[in-house]
Amino acid sequence: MQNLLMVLVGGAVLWITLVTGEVVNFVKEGLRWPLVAAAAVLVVLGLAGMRRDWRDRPDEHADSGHDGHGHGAGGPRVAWLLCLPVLAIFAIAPPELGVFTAARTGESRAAAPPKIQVAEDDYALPPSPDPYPMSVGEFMGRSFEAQIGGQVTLADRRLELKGFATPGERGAWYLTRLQMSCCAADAMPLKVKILDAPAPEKGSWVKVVGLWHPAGEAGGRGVYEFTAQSVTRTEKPDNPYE
Amino acid sequence: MATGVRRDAEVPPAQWGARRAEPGADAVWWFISIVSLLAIGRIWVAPWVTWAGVQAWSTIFIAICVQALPFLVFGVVLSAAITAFVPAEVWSRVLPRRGVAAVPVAGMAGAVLPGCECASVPVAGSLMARGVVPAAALTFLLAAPAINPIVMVATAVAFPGQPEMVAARFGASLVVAVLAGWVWLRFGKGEWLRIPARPEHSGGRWEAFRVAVRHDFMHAGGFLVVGGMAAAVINVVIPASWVNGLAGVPWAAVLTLAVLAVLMSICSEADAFVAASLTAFSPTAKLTFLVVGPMVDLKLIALQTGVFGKRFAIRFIPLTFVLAVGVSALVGGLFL
Repeated sequence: MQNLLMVLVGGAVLWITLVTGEVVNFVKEGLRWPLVAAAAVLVVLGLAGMRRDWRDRPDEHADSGHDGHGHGAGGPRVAWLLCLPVLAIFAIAPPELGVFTAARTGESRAAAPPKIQVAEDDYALPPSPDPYPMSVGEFMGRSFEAQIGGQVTLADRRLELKGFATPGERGAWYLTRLQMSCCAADAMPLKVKILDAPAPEKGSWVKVVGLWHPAGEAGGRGVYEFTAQSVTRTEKPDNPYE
Repeated sequence: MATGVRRDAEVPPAQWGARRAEPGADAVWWFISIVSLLAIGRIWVAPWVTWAGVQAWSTIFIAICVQALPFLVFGVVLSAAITAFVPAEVWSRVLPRRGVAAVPVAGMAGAVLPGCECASVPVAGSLMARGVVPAAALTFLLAAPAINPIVMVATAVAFPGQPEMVAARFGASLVVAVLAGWVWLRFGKGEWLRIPARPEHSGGRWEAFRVAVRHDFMHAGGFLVVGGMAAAVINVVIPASWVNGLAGVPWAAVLTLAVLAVLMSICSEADAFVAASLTAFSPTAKLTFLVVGPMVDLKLIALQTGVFGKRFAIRFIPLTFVLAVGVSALVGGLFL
């Protein structure tokens, strides 16, 4: 039975990595191939064990079919908990984190300026395309840079941001994207307040074209605003996190 | 009178204690986790439980399990390879014979092996089974996930321009690991620790390897799931405002992040990013988070209980926790 369990766990992981691609809902893209390798190890060893048990069956039938006795041939009972994530993957098929997580994580935790991953020399935005597509994290990083008195790189430039809509106070709404540094357990919302546009349906994915709106006092932090020119519904991207 | 006598006869659960020792340990864990889940659920979750919350919980639960799986399999395969292919004499030759000297050597060895905490538990178990002094194996267990090269690089990336944070993490973690090893060497009793026995198997080395992988995976995997469930509950249930309220008071901040590190059970390769995002907290509190997390957290508690036994876990985990908080407060106070 332990062999079957290994095949089951390995198979479920192969399913979400290779077949459905759901794995990006849970962990970073870079973990996909290590996961495939780990799952392959489990499946191969599980199958090898099943083959062996099958061959040894006539003489060992009594204890190989029995489980639930602590450290008997059936393995520890706690191992059966391994069925739970497999069950959750198939029965609940949970979607990516979204509005619920964004809403329950407080403002102040979200206000940390994300790091900008651009080299120093291409720090200025290239002249094309227009509007320039930018990740929410980079937008926040660049506007934070400007707010603390650093280089201003966003002024008068049309940008395109993509994310899902979350409601704010007094009719305001935010374009939100969850940033994941390792797995979904550490996802943090990045929120940009959208001005001059009515709020789309909560949780819907939108593409917002518009201009950076300088906000907050100099040296302050945590206010990111964007003046919308157009808001269009869009498909959820392949990787919902940043 | 009669009832009193009857009660006396029933109350001492002598047989329970005896039966619980080996196979019942799993059942106790089942019971504890189910009861605590129910209690937490009744108090905090029930008033506002929603389908969205359930989905977020299962996403986080699966994410923790999936995230840990490659590292767990890596550790299990490595420890099985140690069991099956490395002769026992090698360890007695590599490590100093005296435990006092073996402990720091084992700590430094932790700086070499990449992997997170899920990998190091089975590896430490198989080191003990191969005759390494338990204290040295425990030092390795604590040091390996905290100070390996991948974790150091991740910390440097998460705290750009703050090399002192990387150095403080390395130093404080190594000191805690070595101190914990020495304390265990001096005061630990052999009978507290259940050195994982391996099912002996006839057949070739590959067969031994296969059986060892299966054995370790079954033990560690089940407990990983327990830890993952608990951490997902915490993640979905604790309001962020509570956490931020405590950030202002220095000692409360350190303790809060220490407890949070235990509850959140983030992989040591990722915790630096989370620590960096907790901007409201002092550098010392963040350092505590980084030192405690790889050594004590919910999924590690579950894993260590599963691999080394409950009597080990109830002594070693508080020891590690106190040492980790103390040393990081000291190092943070002096250098950060």
